[in-house]
Amino acid sequence: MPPSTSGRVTTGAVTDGSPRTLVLGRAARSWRALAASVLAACFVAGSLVGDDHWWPVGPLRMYSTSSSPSGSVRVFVVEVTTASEPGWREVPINLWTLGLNRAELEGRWPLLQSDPGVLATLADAHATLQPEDERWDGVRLVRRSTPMVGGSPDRDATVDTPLVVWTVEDGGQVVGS
Amino acid sequence: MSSTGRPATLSAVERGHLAWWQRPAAWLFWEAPLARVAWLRLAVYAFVVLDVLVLHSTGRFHGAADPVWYQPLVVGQVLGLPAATVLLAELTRWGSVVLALLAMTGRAPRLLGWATVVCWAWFQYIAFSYGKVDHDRAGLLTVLLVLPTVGQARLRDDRRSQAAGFALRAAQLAAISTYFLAAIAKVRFGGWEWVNSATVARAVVRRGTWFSEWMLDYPALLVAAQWGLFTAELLSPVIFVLAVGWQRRVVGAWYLFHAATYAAISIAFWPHLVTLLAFVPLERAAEWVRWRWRRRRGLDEDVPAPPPLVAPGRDG
Repeated sequence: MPPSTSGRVTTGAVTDGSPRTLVLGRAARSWRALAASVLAACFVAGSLVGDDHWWPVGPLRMYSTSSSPSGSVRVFVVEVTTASEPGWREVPINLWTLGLNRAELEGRWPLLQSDPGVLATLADAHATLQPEDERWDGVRLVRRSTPMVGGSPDRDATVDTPLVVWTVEDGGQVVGS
Repeated sequence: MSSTGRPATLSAVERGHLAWWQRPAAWLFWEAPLARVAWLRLAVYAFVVLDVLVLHSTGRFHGAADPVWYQPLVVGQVLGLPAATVLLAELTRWGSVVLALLAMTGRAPRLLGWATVVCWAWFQYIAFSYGKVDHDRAGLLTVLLVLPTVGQARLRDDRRSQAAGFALRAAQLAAISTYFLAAIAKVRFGGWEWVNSATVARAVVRRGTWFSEWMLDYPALLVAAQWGLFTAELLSPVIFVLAVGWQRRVVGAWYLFHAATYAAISIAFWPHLVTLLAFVPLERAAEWVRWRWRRRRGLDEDVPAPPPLVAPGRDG
């Protein structure tokens, strides 16, 4: 094990009476400064031209997009059916139910559009994570839109639109966009 | 390696006895109390345990997700990291717990420090390679990377160390760059009109609480909050030219901001809050708590109170 600071140790009290101090040598300072500079450059580059795939140096983009005060707030809802409860009912989108969280599901909307059968993997993940629950035999993704008026939501005007559906009998299909 | 010359002491920096070209190095490699790093290390590794077990165990569930959802990040492509399995997720999760607990003892700080950061970072990678990346972890990753470079440090260490100063400074830079780069991202992705947009209103619609939902009836209030946040983020690096006491007050204000954010939209950037501890004289906080505890039990009644934490004292 090298000395604790890879540098010179002043063992006595320095002249102003402060306790002993561990001092870094030139090499120890240089590699630290170089490593810090490289890391800083990566963070700056990630913020200026990178994207989330650059993690851990990607842009710090939480809540960075602009939402129009008169647009609408859209969230995905997952609904399922089971053999004993054939009607569609909403289930929470979270990791311990689906193995994915809301943002992960929303981010893969293009995948679901091109291959709606992928919804079956959510039923599989649910069966793995919640083995005591009844197995889902249908899964569908619904978009819930709430219009914003002057920066405030009009909840009475909320609209649900089914987008993709998968069932054991019929497989996956796109039903909305 | 240099072996000559008297080290630049903090008081010399404070008195301004250094030439201008010596000051950046003296600032980056300031002589910090080793005990502060020992306390920070204790807090950081304790947080790692809490993080993977309670706060952010996302990666664990990805072991159950089908590999079709796996989206390798750049670092995973370069290193050839595979999609998660239940075994891999549990290994990296529990490996993080065991290694961090061992690292909390302060023994073998380099070996255990490096092992902990590799294991924790891999578990984070598993969490983030399924389409959703959290943006509050780069600072803590930086802290985990610099802590092993300090070497031995004890909780009651009375020595100072330039390696400790560098580690604390790097952690401070990481914490503050989180704010500044967040402002840059707002300009890049949201444009300058971000400050007047309904971004916070949208967040409250999606994740609001009793503390914040009434604000939806006052959109101008939420827009004002956006102006305030953006300005604070953009000006955040100014903290480094403030006197130490004011630095600590500003950090206190950031902690209040994060508390308000949690109350409003139930989001807390926990790893970032731990990273911000690099500004806090933790060894003096511990001393203060010890003093209060002994005072309450009727001991040391004639011992004067330690100075307030915002006071710079000799600790820088």
